[in-house]
Amino acid sequence: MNLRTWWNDKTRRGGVLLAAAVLVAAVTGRDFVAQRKHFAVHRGPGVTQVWRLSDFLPSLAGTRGDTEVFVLAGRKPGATVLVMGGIHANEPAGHVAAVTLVESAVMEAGRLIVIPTTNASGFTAGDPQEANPPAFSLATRTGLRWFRYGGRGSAAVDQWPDPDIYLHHPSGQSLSGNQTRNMNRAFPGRADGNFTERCAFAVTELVRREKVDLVIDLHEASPEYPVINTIVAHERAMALAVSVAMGLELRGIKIGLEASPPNLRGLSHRELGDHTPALAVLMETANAAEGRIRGRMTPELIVTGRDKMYVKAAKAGRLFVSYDERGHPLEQERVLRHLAGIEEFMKAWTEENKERPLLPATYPEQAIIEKEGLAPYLRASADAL
Amino acid sequence: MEFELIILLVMVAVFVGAFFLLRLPVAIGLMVAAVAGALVGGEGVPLRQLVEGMFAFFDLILIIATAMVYMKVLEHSGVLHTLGRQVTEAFHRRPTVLLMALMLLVMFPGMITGACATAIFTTGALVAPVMLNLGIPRVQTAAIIAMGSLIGMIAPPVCIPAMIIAEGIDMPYVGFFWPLFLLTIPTGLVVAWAMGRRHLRHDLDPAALAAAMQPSVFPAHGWKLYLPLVVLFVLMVAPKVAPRHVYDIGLPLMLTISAGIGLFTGEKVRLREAVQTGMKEAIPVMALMVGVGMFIEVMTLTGARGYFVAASLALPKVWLVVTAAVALPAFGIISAFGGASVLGVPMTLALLGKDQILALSSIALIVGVGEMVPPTAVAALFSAQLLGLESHFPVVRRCVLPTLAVLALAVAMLVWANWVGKLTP
Repeated sequence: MNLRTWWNDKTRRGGVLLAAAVLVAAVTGRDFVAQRKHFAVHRGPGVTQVWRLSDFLPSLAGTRGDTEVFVLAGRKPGATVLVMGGIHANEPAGHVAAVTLVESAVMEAGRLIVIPTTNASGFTAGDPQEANPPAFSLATRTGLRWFRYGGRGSAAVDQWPDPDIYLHHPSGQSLSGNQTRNMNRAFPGRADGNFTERCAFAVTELVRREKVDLVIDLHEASPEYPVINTIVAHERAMALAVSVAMGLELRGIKIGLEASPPNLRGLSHRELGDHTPALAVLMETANAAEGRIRGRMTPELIVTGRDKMYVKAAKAGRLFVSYDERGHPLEQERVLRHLAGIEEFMKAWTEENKERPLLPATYPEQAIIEKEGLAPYLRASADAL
Repeated sequence: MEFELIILLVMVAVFVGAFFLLRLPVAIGLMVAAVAGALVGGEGVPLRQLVEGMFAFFDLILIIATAMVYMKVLEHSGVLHTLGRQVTEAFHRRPTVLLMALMLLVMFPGMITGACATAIFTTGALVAPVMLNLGIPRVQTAAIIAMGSLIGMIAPPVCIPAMIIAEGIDMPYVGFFWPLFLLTIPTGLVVAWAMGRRHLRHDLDPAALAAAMQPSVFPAHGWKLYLPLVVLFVLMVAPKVAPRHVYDIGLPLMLTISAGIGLFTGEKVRLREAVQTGMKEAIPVMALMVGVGMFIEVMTLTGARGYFVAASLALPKVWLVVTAAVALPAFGIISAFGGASVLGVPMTLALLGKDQILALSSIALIVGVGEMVPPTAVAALFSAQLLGLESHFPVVRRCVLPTLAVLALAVAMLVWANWVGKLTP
């Protein structure tokens, strides 16, 4: 029996193709499951307590939505600020800045609460057709530090199927179905809602129960997006944000200021501002790796922000941020912007509320980051991801 | 020549070679082209990305699979030909009015779910026998249903491309109903009339018609026969009408439940045969979605996607409308929704200054045209599948003129968006 005759037998051919499919599923399945391993966040000298998000909504315990909440309490009393990274797991400046705070900041007065991976589920899977690498690394003084790079929403295995239309609760605003897994369209969330709404609800509960005064949500945006290198502030937080923008300008960091649109629902700055007493703001930096115009998708693009397609688009006047061959590096620019912004928010808050200050004793320094990146502030990972 | 352009050209060349020279199915051609692109791009055979890419269409693949089984159940139980017979007998004296009504019926599922496949595989299946009874040839029937599904997916209230683009530029999906309504509903009716009027038979003899059609099974089963249709309609519409009270269980489950009910409401359904034939017919279309997913993911991975978008946006602003009219439908070869997200968002941002809602509505309709661009032409492909045609290219050919007319309308609206905006409240 020659090969052609053998292959023409439908049962044999079906068997071979089925075996090949099973093999591909096994190999890639192992790869996808491996992405569920989270990157470790080391407890820095300022960490006084570690909670879990499920402490604020027990039904999250044991799910991939549960995540660590780090508390850095100062020796002296003061106000409470919440910093959230990783609501979008494909916007790494947010979670890298949050991790840097956990591992290096120490509070003198007041309380800094940090959630580095607020939508933890988003870190366990990429977005189909985006070809996201599952991880990237930064150099530290003791070796490589690994971080996950995930998708924009909760993983589909945690919440599926998407409806045709996502109706935001409680406003009833309509969005396309895939936004149902976008945590920054799910606030204030609900205790008996879908997976993403429950994660958002836990954050809202944390803000209420811990009497958080100020919420800072760290994000990034693609360079063709108009709201970039900007603070978006709820109307009650606008005066504070104006002071911060001026403070950043004095430090040589140009930043825009936008009012939170009242008719765009589900976003942290809108809903936490409306549904809790906290002042709520969001900060955006420029991340080419999540943009539609980007060229080859690599871990280097995430870290360096160098991309020739964006340079071309900038020359054609199609971007809302300047873009040249130097790119927008993660450490020296994007994380620095977030860290400097948080520091300025604490400073501006303290100036306005001297009886309830937010004073860091130790904080990542702009000059050091500009020179050495985050290497002095981060510890190397025990294992590569 | 930039390396990303070389990768893109290799992918296109391999696809064309596989499809036209080796006569491989479109789906296999796309998969081979994706692997070739990855190899040229220095990525080896990126199994992770190939598998991840196809999951973009996982939900659609489930819809296609369950819809084909549902259709087979309706066919076996006698629903399709009985409904076709009853509607034809009732309205054959006014075929033009009937044709318009059928067009609206085809568009309806697309209007509430935003997907052309839903329209074709649900109401498309119901209206096809009626159109055939009215004298419209099989290929033309497929073409009308394909056009109806294309226009229906853009029609309000649910227009996914408009929603995707609006979200991409932080614009609430509010105020789109009337612009989209005016762009699509009259267009759909005109298209149906233009495509069907020459074939409509106004002199149908009731006796001859009755003899030509399959016998009705309505006397044997009564209204119970139509329960699978009613259940599907209720399951689809209820979450839209009362979203706070009725959970959207997803179309695949709706179709499965309705098919399950259809096993007991009409003629005996040979379940095994229905599932086997349904799946056999669905596999080429499902495979196409798999191939498209792989193709786009490799384009993204290698930078070919970025090259395509950057090159489209690099043209002078006065040429942007032309670029939109060419590049957005061209992206539809691989995915119309993908085109809305990848190219539609930056294109809309580049066109800032025009009446935003009208401009975005026009761009959404241009994106929709992508569903008719060969060789994939998914609207024609699904429709040809529905009518049992061997190839969808004759359907595409019949749709060329109406598609160009729809594109011209959308481009005109885009060009004169500010002027039209002043006329609307």
